[in-house]
Amino acid sequence: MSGHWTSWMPLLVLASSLVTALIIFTLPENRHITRGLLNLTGAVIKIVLVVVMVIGVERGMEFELRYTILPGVDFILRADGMAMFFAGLSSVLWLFTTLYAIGYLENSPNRSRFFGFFSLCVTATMGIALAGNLFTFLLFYELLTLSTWPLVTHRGTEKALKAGRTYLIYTLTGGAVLLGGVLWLYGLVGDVEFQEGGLLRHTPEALHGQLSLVFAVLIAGLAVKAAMVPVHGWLPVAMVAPAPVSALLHAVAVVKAGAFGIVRVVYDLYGIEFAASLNLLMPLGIAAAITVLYGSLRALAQSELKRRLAYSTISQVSYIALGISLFGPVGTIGALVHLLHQGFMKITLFFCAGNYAETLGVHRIDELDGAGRRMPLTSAAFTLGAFGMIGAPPLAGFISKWFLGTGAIAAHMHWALWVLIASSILNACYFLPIVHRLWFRPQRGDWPAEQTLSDRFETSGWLLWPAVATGLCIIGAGLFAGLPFSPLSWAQLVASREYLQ
Amino acid sequence: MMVTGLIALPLLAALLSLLPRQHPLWAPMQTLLLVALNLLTLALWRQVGAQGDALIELPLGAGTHWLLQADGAAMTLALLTCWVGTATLVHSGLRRSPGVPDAFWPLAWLLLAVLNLVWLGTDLLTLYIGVEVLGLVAVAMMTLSGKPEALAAALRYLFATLLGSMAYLVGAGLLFAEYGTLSLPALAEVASANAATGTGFALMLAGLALKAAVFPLHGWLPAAHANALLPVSVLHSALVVKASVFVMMRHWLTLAPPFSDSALPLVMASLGTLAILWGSVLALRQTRLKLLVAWSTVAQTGYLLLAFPLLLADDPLLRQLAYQGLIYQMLAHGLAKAALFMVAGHLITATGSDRISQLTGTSRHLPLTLLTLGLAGISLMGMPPSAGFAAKWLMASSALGSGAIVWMVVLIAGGLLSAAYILKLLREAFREGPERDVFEHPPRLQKMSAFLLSLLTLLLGLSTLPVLSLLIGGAV
Amino acid sequence: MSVTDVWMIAGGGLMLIGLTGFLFARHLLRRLLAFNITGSGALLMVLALSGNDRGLAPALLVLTGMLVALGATALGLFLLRLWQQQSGHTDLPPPPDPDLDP
Repeated sequence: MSGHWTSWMPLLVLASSLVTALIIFTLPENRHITRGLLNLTGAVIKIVLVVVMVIGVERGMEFELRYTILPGVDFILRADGMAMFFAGLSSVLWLFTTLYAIGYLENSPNRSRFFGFFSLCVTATMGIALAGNLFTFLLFYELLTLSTWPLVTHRGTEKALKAGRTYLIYTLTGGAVLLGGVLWLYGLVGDVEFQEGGLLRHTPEALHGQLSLVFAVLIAGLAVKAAMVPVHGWLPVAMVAPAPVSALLHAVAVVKAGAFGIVRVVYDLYGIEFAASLNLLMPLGIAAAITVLYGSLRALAQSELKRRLAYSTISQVSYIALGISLFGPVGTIGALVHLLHQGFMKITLFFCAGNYAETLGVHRIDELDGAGRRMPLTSAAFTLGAFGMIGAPPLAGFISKWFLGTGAIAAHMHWALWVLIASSILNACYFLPIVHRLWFRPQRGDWPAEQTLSDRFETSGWLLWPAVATGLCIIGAGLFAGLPFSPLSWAQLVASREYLQ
Repeated sequence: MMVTGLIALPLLAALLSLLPRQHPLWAPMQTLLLVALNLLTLALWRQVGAQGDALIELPLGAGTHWLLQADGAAMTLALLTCWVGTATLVHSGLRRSPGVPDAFWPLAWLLLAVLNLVWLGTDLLTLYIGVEVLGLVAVAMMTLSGKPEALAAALRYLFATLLGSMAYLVGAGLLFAEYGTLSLPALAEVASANAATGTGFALMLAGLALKAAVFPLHGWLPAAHANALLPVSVLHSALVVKASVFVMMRHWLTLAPPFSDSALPLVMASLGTLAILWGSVLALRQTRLKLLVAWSTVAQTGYLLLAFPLLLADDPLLRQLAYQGLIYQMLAHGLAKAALFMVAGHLITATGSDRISQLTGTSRHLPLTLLTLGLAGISLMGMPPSAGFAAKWLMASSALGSGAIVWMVVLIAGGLLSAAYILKLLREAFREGPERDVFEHPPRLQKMSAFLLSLLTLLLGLSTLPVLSLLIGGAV
Repeated sequence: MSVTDVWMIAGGGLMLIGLTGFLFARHLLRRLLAFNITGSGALLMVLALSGNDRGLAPALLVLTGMLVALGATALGLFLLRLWQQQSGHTDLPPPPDPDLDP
């Protein structure tokens, strides 16, 4: 551990939410304002730190902290392009979700416990982003499992406890499989750090057979959190959690941790070219394609809004894996940029779903008729999210799908293009009817459980503005994709470093 | 020679604890003694770290010695003894200790002295004396709760420990007849695979296994731990059970290498596997808090056995990994189990019931206790970052290196099983139910001592090298 | 047959008798006595095994064994008196079924 300030930056990023978590745990239940301020201070400090590191990384600075945690195994936190990609997403969305959660949980019990674990969960996510080797990644990956469980079971009802149990059975088993893979890999080649281009390509040819198997084990472990078919079962069940938790789970923390893990393993551990030479990308692509289509089909059949969104997540997150399997820089850009875009779009949709539930008591899709007039801003944000998901220009989702599609053509994988087209049609099939109900259908009788949460706006400002803000980000990420530091240009920067030739 | 202080100081403390409990200087004296024990243990631990192992011969006359070996393993376990002992004594209330009879104090100090003797001893005579006296002191402590169930459990435990020591004694006699020495280092050089050695070794292992509640000889343990006084359960599950496994390990390193081609390693690992499965499944099925924790001890002992065959690997590096993993697992489990038993006590105090179904709503009222349960639980599950994970990582790496994929899978699957029973507790605590009227809070000092132990499992997971660097070369 | 063999057989026989007693006796005092007999047999075997002229070590081992047996018997007697007073039984109830909720 050197004394230089740059080596402390990654640790400070973690500390900004870890310390928040620890203080909040000890805070008495009724100190709402202190808790809110602590949460927001932590979130803002984190964003500032991340911005400093993003600028530093762009200029080629190194932020790294390491020490030996076990014989032959280092604990490494390092800010590279890929890390900042995920860290940026998490820190920004954490701020929005915190704001939203403060409003959402007003007057509900156990808030200290909730926000404590909430901050812990973000700490784990940041750790996953900054992990510099597979061991450190695993450490935070498991911490994420443990810190999200209290959030899923937060309500303490029989249904919530059952969902928590299902969640743990899936994620702990996934974690155990991942641990097996990590142990195997360390046994074969020792402690290999994440590095652009991947370091495993230097291993002797004799090990390549085993490395392919290790790859399968690692991906199998990561696929659980990424909710890839057939290990996706926990995600729709976990919908019972409070809306901000669902938002966090779907957009940033859990599914993204799985997807980001796959990205790390393919690009920075094996290296995309080495993975391609071992013929590992095709099976991944097929699994992703199946998940994309299956998730969309199941989403069609759901009558509950949150459940439809959950199946949509299953489908959308696998775009990332699909993009990875399209060997070529364009596909990579598509995969990476979708990691961010999907986060913004999905979090908007979940915020809106939470707003409908809190303000109108609406949970089912057929109850949404005419909600656009009652809640215009929320419905506008929802519409942005929905169109983004379908891939309509000039929204963020269009950029993702454009690069994924051209990537598929560039990689001569035309079937992947057809998967994308089919999935987009399905997206339209399950999102457009909702939009239609919101805006073009008359309201049917009274809302199931309407509450007046604000005199001036359609709902409480805490709930409304985060949704509007993330909705605007969807437009911004699409319109200003060409500007420096936009998700797209950052994805291009990272992708350009991943390919050697 | 300072090492003998690890035995002398607790012995002195045991004598001083015989003074009347009401004396105003009693609590300051105990505090002083605890501080002295902590400082001494830490100083000696660092000294061994800096200067390496020390072999001490205490002459008994006529050319016989008591042989003490202050190596990394002994000092690590002494550190565990010191930490768990301190936490338990503080937990029992130095100033006032309602529900803890006066006889607890001298017995507890005596137990710590004998434990240190067991960690340090390296000849059959010292170890025999150690495990014997340990057994008797432990039985005496079991009776302190005064419950009839505890008496029955103590009697059963007494029979078990006596039967175990008899087997050990005959085994030691056989080895002495064969080689004419009782010193382990000397035996390590001369031992060969013949019938007498095999029989003696097997008898000793079986005797110790009975004392350590190794599957399938674990029958006495759950009732004993569930009915004893809380601090006694803590000391027993965290330290006393470990002492027998530790002695098993010392003998294993000495005598097992000639038998590495026999079925013995496979038998040990199979017993370990069965212990993990059986203990975890039964822990999961318990409806009472203390019984769940007690069955978890049966399961966790299985992990220790699983490392035994790995200590015989061909590659010295793999042997060392297994050795480090084994000692670290003892450390991790000792701390976590002590914390978990204390937490069980707090939850029983708070809800007035030993039933797991009564935990509803505790997460709301006892956040620190639940945090302690969580941290200790993470270590027991072997989830990162915790000492339990570090131990599992080391053992699994060793298993993988020796091609024993099966044992690696058992290690990982065992973690999932422990997760199941730990999370069963947490789930009940998170359940929202009707508010209860009576809700007693355990004293802050008790909560803190449990919490600090669980915090240690976390810190020892984040920083492993200070302890592990002392364990280099131990099994080579 | 050497002298050692005689002692070995004697010790082994005592152990066998003691163990039989332990396994089949129900009364706790009988079981405790059975233990003492087994213990004596074990000590006899150790002495026979280690022979006459092999230093102090085996003697110390046996001496410890005797002291332990003494202490254990005293402790056992104390326990079983207490048990009898509290439960009214002189034998142990069958061990609790691990699956049974008491």
